[in-house]
Amino acid sequence: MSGAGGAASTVTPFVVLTFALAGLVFAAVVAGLAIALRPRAAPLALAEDRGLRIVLLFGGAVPAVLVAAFFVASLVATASLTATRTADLSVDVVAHQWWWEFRYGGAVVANELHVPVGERVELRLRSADVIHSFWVPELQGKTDVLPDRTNTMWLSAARAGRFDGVCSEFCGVQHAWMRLIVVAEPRGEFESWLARQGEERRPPSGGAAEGERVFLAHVCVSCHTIRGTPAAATIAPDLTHLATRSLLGAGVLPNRRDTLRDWLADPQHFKPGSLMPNASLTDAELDALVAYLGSLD
Amino acid sequence: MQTAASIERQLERLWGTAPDEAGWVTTTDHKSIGMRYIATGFIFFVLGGLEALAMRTQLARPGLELMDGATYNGLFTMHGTTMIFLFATPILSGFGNYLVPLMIGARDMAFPRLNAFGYWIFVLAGIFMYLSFPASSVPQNGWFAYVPLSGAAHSPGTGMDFWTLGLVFLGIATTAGAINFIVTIAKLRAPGMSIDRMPLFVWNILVTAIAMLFAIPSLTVAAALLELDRYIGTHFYDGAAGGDPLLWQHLFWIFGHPDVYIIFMPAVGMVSSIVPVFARRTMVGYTALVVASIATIVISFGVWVHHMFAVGIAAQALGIFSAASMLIAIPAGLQMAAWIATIWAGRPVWSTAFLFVVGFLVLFLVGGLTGVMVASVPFDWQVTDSYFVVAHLHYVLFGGMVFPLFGAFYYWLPKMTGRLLDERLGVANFATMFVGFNLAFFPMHISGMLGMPRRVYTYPGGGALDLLNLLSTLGAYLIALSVVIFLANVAWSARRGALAGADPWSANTLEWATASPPPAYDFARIPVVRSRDPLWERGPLSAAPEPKELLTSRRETLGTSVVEAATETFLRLPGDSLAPALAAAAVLVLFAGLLLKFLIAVAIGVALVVATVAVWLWPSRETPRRHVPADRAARAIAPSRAPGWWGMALLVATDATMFALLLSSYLYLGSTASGAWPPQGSERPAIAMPILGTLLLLASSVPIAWAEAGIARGERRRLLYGLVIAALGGAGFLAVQVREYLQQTFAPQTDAYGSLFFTITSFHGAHVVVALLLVGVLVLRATKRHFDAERHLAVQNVALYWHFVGAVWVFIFATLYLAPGVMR
Repeated sequence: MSGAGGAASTVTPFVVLTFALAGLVFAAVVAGLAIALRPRAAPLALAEDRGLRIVLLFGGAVPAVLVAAFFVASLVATASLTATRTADLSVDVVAHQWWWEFRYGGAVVANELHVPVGERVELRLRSADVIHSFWVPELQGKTDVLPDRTNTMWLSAARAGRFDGVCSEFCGVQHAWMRLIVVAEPRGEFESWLARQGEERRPPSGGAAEGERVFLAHVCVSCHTIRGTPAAATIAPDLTHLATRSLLGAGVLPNRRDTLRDWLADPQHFKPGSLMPNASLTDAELDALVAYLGSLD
Repeated sequence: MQTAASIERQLERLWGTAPDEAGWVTTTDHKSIGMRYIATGFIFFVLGGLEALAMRTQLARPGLELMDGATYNGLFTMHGTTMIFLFATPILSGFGNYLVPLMIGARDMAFPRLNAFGYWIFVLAGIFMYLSFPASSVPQNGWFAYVPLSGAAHSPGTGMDFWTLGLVFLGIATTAGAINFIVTIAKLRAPGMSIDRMPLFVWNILVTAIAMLFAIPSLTVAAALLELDRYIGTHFYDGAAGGDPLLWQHLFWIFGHPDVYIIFMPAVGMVSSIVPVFARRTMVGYTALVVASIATIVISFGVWVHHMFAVGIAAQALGIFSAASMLIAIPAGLQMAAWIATIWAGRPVWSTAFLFVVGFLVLFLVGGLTGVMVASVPFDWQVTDSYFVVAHLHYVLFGGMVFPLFGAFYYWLPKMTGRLLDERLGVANFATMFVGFNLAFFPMHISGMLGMPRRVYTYPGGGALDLLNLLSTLGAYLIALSVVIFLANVAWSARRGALAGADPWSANTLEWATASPPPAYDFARIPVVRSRDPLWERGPLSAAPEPKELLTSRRETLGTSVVEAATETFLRLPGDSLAPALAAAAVLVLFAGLLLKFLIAVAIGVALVVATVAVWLWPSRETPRRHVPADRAARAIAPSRAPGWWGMALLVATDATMFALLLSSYLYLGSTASGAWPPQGSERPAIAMPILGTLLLLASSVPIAWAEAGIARGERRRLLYGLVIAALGGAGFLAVQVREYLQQTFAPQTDAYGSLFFTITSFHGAHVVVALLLVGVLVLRATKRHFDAERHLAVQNVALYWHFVGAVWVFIFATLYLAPGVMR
């Protein structure tokens, strides 16, 4: 948590205060223990009621004051995080086993959330299956993502950059590979990105056209959408602009032609238990499919 | 005139366990049972530790492929489940079992057979859960098993059922143990051990046992509702049909957070035993420590939502749970201050036991401080479900419980075996464990802050996480080495260790007043207690007067009053028996049937349970179980209840908690429902016939009370008539309920409302059936003239149960039949 953005930087002073206070208490108690452990010739004469008063003072009153102060600081930090505000942008986030879907109206992308720098982004979170939790450590604390209800959280990035995120609620066999990237970019870049993502796929040519036929003729089509083709299933990520994304399999591989080919050849090798089956494609079919998917920018 | 030696010989014959295999199964000696709990718990500690080592090996480097995600998920599920349910709670129960009777100067627990039963249930439940490995269906949803992931749709197969049923199975042992501890501590203390003179370990076991009685029901209810959802398609946790996955989280954590203190409190008791002995002075702030233990447990029932800060509950509502969670720092501060003040005011003497306790003080301080941090809502949002929490919980549970436990081994194993452990190996044991622990878990604070989530079987490389994880793995291996050193020390000293003698540490409490190991009867003469540190008094202990013919003719111990521990009666304790082991085996048949969904086996299991319990409880022929008053004067001053009545009252309390949780679940789902309640299509239940049933059930309490009052005056005929009339009332109530079921327009599978209605009413109906069975047994025994004016505890107990079944129905009737009219 380096505090590169809105909420995480809002709580940074509070987190620093927390660690400072804890460090102080730790040092004081350990020092007390060390003094207590010094060898001595004879026990102290300490009357029972005086001993009890010492315990009540150092063990009861002092912690009570510290905890009360810490609670107030915590309330102030909570208030600054939960203040009502207006959204500059709203994105629907749908968590799936084991990938993230981001819906900007008609533009639907997976595992890569683009936001304009410095703007307040409202995320409306809901799950398609089990409970997940949305966490981008450098930008914001966690909010759980549940089925049958919508949770809201705020996100803002103070500087441009790419921030790693993860699912932080255990959600099944591939919980480890349910990662995402937040790309914070200037408004202009964000808008051109968004416009592109909203378009249908660019019609393929050459080997890529053969790849589209492979795609539509195989199991791929029963789960994925590629806008502009008959493929319209919503079980798995929308692939209309797959080539613009930097991750495959929600983070298990970087998205390059060679890794894409490996992934398509045997997804269960890289992400055992994931819902994407091995499609048993021939080498020629694989080459065509990689050419096609690699052209979807 | 008998000599002391001949009395001891007769006591040995009376209390000793048969030295053959049969004796091994039938023994009810609390010391044998305690040591079995400890040994079995330690085996589970090693298993859970091996699971942890396998996980740490997989995480040593990023992207390792030593195991797949499914295997890893099974390992962390079984690691958490094992450490919490099969190691920590039972091994502490083992120390409690072994030590409590010795510390309070009793000859056994109040219910020795129940004690044996509890152990057999524990070991069978543990084996039951571990059979999931050879069955290749290891549960994979963590020790918290969140729905909907743990539901039938996302976790088909029997893995979850092994886990859920195993925990309900195990809950029987924990509940039985808790009742036994409470009654033992309340009624069996040596004369003069008033509650303000009880050893702090005993105080903490008492407080823990009370917490168990009210916490375990929440786990049982949560698990039972999950199994109903999985088996018969109810909708308690199904958000699409009026249920709510958050109901699981509430129920689980209402159990889960107190459970942290159920594990921690006995360890606090161990620390409070060891500190004064090695500080060589009486405990400073005894009262503060007692108050702190009680306060901790009370607060612990009000903090469960801090496990749910990120689920989307409004921040304003979280404030109260945040504040309550931070409040626990105050009792923890009192404990810390009392221990340090005692060391400061004393003249500390080093030993391995004390070394582990000092290590505990430092580690628990760290865990306590991070605990206050995660109680803060904004802080928690950052670190929850990250490795920071893994670090925090291990500082609290490993630092807070395992370190005191190893201190306790060095301190009390000599009492159990008669031989001291080696101190040089002990120092090596401590050093490797302290360094290994901090190496394993301190870096996790940082990896969590850097964004490493929990429960991932691998992680991408290239950052600081690589080194941090490698350090954690090295630390885990160092801890393993430390456990190997400990086992070597135990093996070596079992044969070569220096003889301990009765009191190797010049300690203060009664367990050191008898031989090491203690004789089967614990104390030839029960001591009289005059202070908190009876062995630090000048002069020898004086013995409580006991008639020799009682002392040497049957197993008996002294029954004393709850607060003052004034002598009341000589309590007869039952002898060794095969029934507890058989009853536990019968419960295993029942749960195996449930697991395999094999209804015939379930039915056979139920029949076997009823049969074995009947054999167990049927009075033995040769001697009547009569409690002899110590003297008439004492009895007149303190006409207090028999231990058996206390046991039934506590069982009713834990049972009532289950009903309270079920009714709370109803109100929770009703008040968060988005539409009408009862939902569209489910009519509000008709009210006329249920009113009739209610009146029948409540009225039937009158003849029961009349029967009980009758037998107290020796009127056997009145007892018989009263019982039969009450049974007719109960049967009438059941008839009304069956009729209502047949006419109902909705079913348990209709929606969450139907699930709740049928589950609550049929759970109560099952209680009515049990009550009728019990009354049937009473009628049978009454005709055999088992009861008279002096002897009718069974009648009192059944009457209590009957009144409870009626009283709880009043709440059910109000909630299910009257409230829907007012709720909306």
